[in-house]
Order: sequence, then C-alpha cells, then structure tokens
Amino acid sequence: MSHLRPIMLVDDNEMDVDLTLRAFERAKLTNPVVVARDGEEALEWIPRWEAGEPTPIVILLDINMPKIDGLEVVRTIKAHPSLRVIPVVMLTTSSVTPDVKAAYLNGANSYIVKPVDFDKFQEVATQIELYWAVMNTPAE
Amino acid sequence: MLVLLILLAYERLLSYRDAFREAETKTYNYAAVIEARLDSTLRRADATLRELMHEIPVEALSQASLPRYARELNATLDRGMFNFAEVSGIRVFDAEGDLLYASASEKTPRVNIADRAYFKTARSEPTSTLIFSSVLTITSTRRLGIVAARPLRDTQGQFRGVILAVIDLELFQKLFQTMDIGPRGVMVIRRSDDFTAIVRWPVLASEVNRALPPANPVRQMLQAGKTEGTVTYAASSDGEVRTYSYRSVAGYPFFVLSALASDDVLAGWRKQTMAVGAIAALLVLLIAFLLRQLWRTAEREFAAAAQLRGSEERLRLATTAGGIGLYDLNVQTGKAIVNPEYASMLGYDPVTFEESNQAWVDRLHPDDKEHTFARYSDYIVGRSPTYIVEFRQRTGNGGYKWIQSQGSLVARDAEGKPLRMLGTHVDISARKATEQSLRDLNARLDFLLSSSPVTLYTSDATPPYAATFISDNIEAMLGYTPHEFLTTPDFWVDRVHPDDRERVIAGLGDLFLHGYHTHTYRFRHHDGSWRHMEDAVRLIKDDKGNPVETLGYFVDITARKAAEEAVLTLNAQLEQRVKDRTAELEATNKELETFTYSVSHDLKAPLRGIDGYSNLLLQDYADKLDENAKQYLRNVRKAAQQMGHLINDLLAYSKLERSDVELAPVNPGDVIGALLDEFAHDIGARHAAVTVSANCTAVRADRDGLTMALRNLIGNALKFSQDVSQPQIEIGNSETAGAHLLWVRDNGMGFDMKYHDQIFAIFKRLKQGEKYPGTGVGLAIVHKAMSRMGGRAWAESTPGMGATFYLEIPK
Repeated sequence: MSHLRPIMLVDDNEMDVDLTLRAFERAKLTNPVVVARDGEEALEWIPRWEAGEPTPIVILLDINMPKIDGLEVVRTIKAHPSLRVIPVVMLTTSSVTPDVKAAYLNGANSYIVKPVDFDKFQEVATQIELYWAVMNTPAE
Repeated sequence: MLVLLILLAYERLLSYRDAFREAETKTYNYAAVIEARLDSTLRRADATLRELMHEIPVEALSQASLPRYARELNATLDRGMFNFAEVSGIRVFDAEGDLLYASASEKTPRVNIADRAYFKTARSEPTSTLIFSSVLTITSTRRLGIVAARPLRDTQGQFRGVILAVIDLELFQKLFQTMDIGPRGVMVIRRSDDFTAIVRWPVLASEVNRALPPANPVRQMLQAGKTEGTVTYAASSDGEVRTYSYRSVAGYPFFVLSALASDDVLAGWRKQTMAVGAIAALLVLLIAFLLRQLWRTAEREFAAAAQLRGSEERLRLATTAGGIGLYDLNVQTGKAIVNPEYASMLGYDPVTFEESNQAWVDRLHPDDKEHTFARYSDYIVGRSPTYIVEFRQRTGNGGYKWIQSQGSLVARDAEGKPLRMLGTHVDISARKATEQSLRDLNARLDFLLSSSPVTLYTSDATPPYAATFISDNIEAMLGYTPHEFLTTPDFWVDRVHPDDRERVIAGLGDLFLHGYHTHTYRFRHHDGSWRHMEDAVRLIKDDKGNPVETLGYFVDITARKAAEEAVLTLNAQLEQRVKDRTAELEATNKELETFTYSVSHDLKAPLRGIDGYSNLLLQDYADKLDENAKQYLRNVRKAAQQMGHLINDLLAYSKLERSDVELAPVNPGDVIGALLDEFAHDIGARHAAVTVSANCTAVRADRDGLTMALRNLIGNALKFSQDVSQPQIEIGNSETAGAHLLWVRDNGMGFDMKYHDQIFAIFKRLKQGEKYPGTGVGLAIVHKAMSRMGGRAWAESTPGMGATFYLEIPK
C-alpha cells in the first residue's frame, strides 16, 4: 500500500523499535514505518523529502538518543520551512516535566510515555493510529 | 478717758455757742449805749438850737445888726455851749451864708457857708427843719464833725439864715475807743437816709461818707422797717465776718452799728479750746504712756516667764529627746546621781538603777577600759583640759552600746583633790554604726574598683580632658600609674593613636550633645604597643545644666578585637566553603538527576524488551505453548512490570528529595479529577464506585507532591479493594482551624493499625505482598510529599473493613 504515507520512527533501541512495529501490526496500522536509528539518520531524510519523497504523516521521536538527540531533531524539523508542518510526537520514558516542557518548547506537538507494559504499548499504538494516522491523513 | 473727751468736747461746743451769744449781747449793749449817747446829744443839740432860735430876733439876722446884737447873742450862744462837750460850736449865719454870731466868736473863723450842701438845702427847702450835714472837718478845730442846722425863717417863711451846731464826732470816736470790740470789731454811726458812715472806729478812710451797699443785711433790715437787730455777716469793706448789732436813733436819721468780729469772738474761745485741748492731749498722752508702761511691764514679765518655760523645756527635751544622760559624781565616794535618761539609755530601769563608779567600770567593755582610764586620769591630773571619751557600756540585755561621756570637775576638796564631777552621756551607737558602715562601704568600693576589669575615671569636661581620677587597675591594664595620668593634663590625648586622635576628639562633641558617648581607639601601652580601647563616657552636669566633668570607663579590647577579626576571617572562610560546598552539592545534584534519569531510562528499556517479547511469545506462539509455559511467560511479564513500577516509584521518590517545594494555590478538585481520568480504565475494569465529595477550592500546596500523594492513595484504594464485590472509593475533604484535610477511603481489606508507621516506611510492605503488587515505595512517597509541604499523612483502618488515608495540608 504505497499510497499510504509513512510513519517515521526515530529510536535508538532495537528492541523498542521491534516491539513498536509489532505493536503497530496488531493495531492494524498499515502505514509503512520508516525507522531511523538516531537523530543523524533522521535528519538525513530531510533532503530526500525535499527532493520529493513522501513526507511522513507523523514523526515519533525518542528524546534520549546518542549523537544528535531528539530535541535537536524537533528543532531542525520545526525550523524547516516546508517540513515543519509534520506533527512530531515525543516518546519519553516518563512524563518528567522538564523533558516534556523542553520538547514542547522546541516545537513538539505532543508526547507519549513509553510504557513498559506491552498492552499499554499497543494502546499507545492504537491511539497513534486513530489520531495521528487516520485523522491526519487526507482523504484519498 | 473717752467719756472725759466727750464731756470736754460738749463743753467746748457749749462755750462756742456762748461766745457768739455773748458777742450778740455785747454788740447790742454797745449799740444801745452809743445810740443812747447819740440820741441824747442830738436831742440836746436840737433842743438847744430851737431854744436859741427863739432868742434870736429876725432883725438880728443881718450883717448890719451885728454891732447891736453881737455881744448879747454871742453870749447867748456861749451859754448854749455850756456843759455841752459834744458840741464844739453854735453859729448863726445870714441868708447869704456869712457868719453872724458864734460861740467862742473870737476863735471862730468867719467863713461863708453858702456853698455847703446843708445851707443850700436850708435855703431852698421851705419845709426843712433840722438838717444834718455830711461828715466834715471843722475848720476851727480840725476835727471831724457833723453840722446840725436849722433854717431861720421870718414870719412870712422867708429864709433869713441858719443856726447850726457843730457836733464833734471825735468825741464819739474816743467813746468807741473805750469799748472792747476786739481788734477786728467795728463801731459805726451811719445816716439812716443814705447809709453813709458818719463816724467809724477803727478809722477806715475809705469808709468815710461811703454808704452800706444795698445788699447789706443791716441796710435791708432798716429799709424793711426794723429799727434794731443783730445779724452776722461778712462786711463788704474788708470781708471780715462780724456779729453786727444796729440801733436806730429815734427821731433822727442815724443808726448805730456795733460789731464784733467772729474771729475776735472766737479768739478767746479758740485760746481756751487750745488750752483745754492741750491739757486733754497731755492727759491722754500721760495716760497712754502709763498704760504702755504697764503693758510693757506685763509683756516683759510674760516673755520672761515664757522664756523661762522655754529654756526649762529645752533643757528637758535636750536631756530626754536628745538622749542625754546626766551624772553627778562624787569622785571620792564613787557614788553618782543620774537622771532617768542615763539609765534608760543603757537599757536599765531608771527606778531601780543605782550608779556608782565601780558599777560603771564593771560595765565598761574590756577593750575600752585602758584608753578610758587613761583619758580620765589625764583630765584629773591636769594633763588634758577636757574630759571627753567614747567607750562601750554593757546594756541591760547583755549587749554593748557606744557612749560618749563628757564631764568636768566642778569641785575639789580642801586639799585640792577632785570632789565632784558633772557630766553627760550621749548615745553615739548610731554614729558608730554609720562610721562602720561607711568604712565597710569604702573598703568595698576600693575592692570593686581595683578588681574591676574596667578602669574607671573622671576627667575635665574641657580639652585636653585631663583626668581627675583613675582607678588603680590602670596600671595592670596599660602599665601607667594613676599619678602619671593625673599630673599631666595631656597624658591621655598624647597616647591616643595619631590616626584615631581626630576622630576621638570629634566624637567627644557627641558627648556634649547627647550626654554620653562610646568609642574605640588605639592607645599606647607603657611598653609601646598599641592596645584597642573601648571608652564609654558620660557627661556630668550640675543642676543648672552646665557640664562639670566626665565620668567613664575604658576597657582593653585588643583581645576582643583580635577575636572579632578572627571571627570575620573565619566567617569569610566559612562563607567561601559554604559556597564551594553548595556548588559541589548543586553539581552533585545535577549529576544525580541526570544519573537518575538516565538510569531509569536505561533500566526501563530492557524491561520493555522483556515484557514485550514475552507478550509476543504468548500471543504468537499460544498454540505451541502449554499452560505451564504460558504461565512462565506471564510471570516473566509480571516481574518486568513490577520492576518498571519500582523504577518509576524510585524515580519519583528521589525527585521528591531533590526538587524544590513550590507552594502555590492548588485546586484539589482539579487534581482529583485529573487523577480519576488517569485511573479511569482501572476504575472501569474493577467496577469501582468512586464518589468525590471533596469540595474545597484552594489549598496552598506543592502541586506535584499533592498529585503524587493522591495518585498513590487512589491507586492503593483501587488495588486493595479488588477482592471486594462492590469496591467503593470515597474521596472527601474537611477543614480544621489550621489545615485542610483530604481523605481517601476504601472498603477493601484494610490493615492492622499496629503496622501503621511501618507501612509509611520505604520498602516496607505488609505480608500480603505478592497478592497485591506494589513496590513498598508508594506510601513513602505520600509521606515524603506531604511532610515536604509542611503537612502530614496518616491512616485509620480495621482489617477487613477498609481503610481511610488522610492528607493534612496546613493553611
């Protein structure tokens, strides 16, 4: 289903990525998922989008990552003239207020706490699907 | 005496009236006498004239007839003059006024009287009979007189001449002179037709031929028809007040006026009165003097008596109130007579007390015996002129009293040996006590001064503020003797540190403004070192407010200053260390925060893996796994989740440790609402009935802390009521005077209150642990969160009956 725009997942934890993808599966999220392992990889997509490749409907971004961290990615995307419209959702291990605040300050649209419990994880994925994917996908 | 004076006065009054009455009588009498004389003179003159008229034939009334008739008629006229002193001459004149015949004719000047008024009247008035002239000077005699003239007419009534008599007025004057009319009295004969004066005594030239003024009372009375009278008035001629008696001469136009001056009348009275008055005054003075003498004598006696009483009294007082005992000692027998005070002073009964020399010696204090005997013998022998000594005597109650004895020898016997001594005992115990306490006080003062840590001084109130007193401890303090300070005026000023000198002197200005001043400065010690001195000085003023001297103290505070410096340095160092430590701490804190965060983050990641893959296994390979395997996997998941909770709770707990409490108004309702949303799924899954009756709108709390606490409580309530068929959770609030109370009640399993404190401790969980998943950190978080915001948390429970957890938030 190539006509569905991708969901971008930026996370450095392999297991988390894997689990997220599986969670999306079970949640019937059919959008292709583009994965970047770190902030640097994520930012490498920017020229590709600029070149015309389909932009993601939502970017899921882990704040704590090596090399360039999530906040940096938010800042860059949100500073970009055409890419700033892409919703960015922070993935954080806790709702620790300073991180959330920092995320918002840098332009993030929302945040989700990464649950340990996988059931919850699936819930989260469903939420993503319901809200960000379905709601924000223009009718085709 | 008063009666006498009144009587005298009355008598004087009476004699005053009498004097006037006498005057009246006198004047009346005089007037009467004169009038009688005048009357008789005039009558006789008139009669003589009439008689003579008949003897003069008409034909004789011419100059031609003179030779024939002269001798005869002259003689006739002479005869008429016989024994008639008042008339100085009788003359006959012809119709032309020439003299024809006269008595004493040879002496009579041959004057013509045609120009005389009376002649003219005689000639022109056909009805005139007797005419009087005004007063005139008689040519022949040069005396004052008055002419009484009768016209001579023939049978046809033709005027042929006059016959006149010259009445000598000076006779009357002489007569007046004989009368006692006083120096200011007056006798006058006046005409009653024109009120002119004929003759007057005393003679007043201005009065001759002058008439009484119309206002004159006598004139008025005469004009009214009163022929005689007496009246008192002031004369217009000289203003003198007189009593006038007047009497008209019957038949002739004259009246007599006799007057006595009131002053003359009263002169006698006045003299008398003065005499009487003088005598009376003299009498009064005499009596007064006598009385005064009497009074004085009486006074003196009285004063003397009083004085005597007074001195008796004083003596009595002196000897009793003054506490003076008297003794009269017979030196040879040793017996003494004493007054009651002597005995009572020593505490003995005056009635039974008997004094003797021996008794007195016995009562002497042993320590005083020697010097008392010495003084006594000195006096007796004559070495000392006075005997005055102080000693202690034993009193009636066994104690001792200080007595001062003063005595003198008043009699020696025939051989010159002392016989009798009189003396006094004075109780001087009070004085002795005062002296002693004064000595004690001085000693104490000296002691305090010398052992005081501060040096006391007084100094002049003017530069260079030379010291007038310095306590001895100056030497120990600064190595100088007080003497040095006191003898050199500039001593103090010169030893103040030059850099401080100006400030110190200027500061003393403050002393004069406020009356006190404290300052510190460096002062040179005798050994040359500089000592820090604290100097507190007070200005002493006299009662007019003028500065008299200063009083102050100074203290060597070098040690103190050094200590202060040290303290300051230490403080600075401490500050620095605190700063450093704080910085370290902050750094540590930051590290810890980062550490905690990353730890939790990094710890959770693998947990996600464990739980996630286990779940996937369960889901994807359900058909390949038996029930045991599935259970194993479920257990794996539970363990991972448990660890996740623990990590979260630990993170929350440590955050509580590290973050600052932010107290702000918080609406509990909002917090509860948000939390219920969080737990909505659980609440639904457990079919729990949650009622919120909390209605307080604002409390002052740490929002995060409160949220955490409530989250834990609600979570617990849900957790521990899971076995109840109908879980009920209540959230409510109440209020006390000082705090808000929030509580969460459940109807779950409850707990035994004896574990109350334990459950709030960290990691402590009650036995039923496995069944109710929990980390043991939750209530510790609740406890810490509440205590951080100044509140507290506690619980009430009965096993099996649920539990109520309280949060108290102070207002």
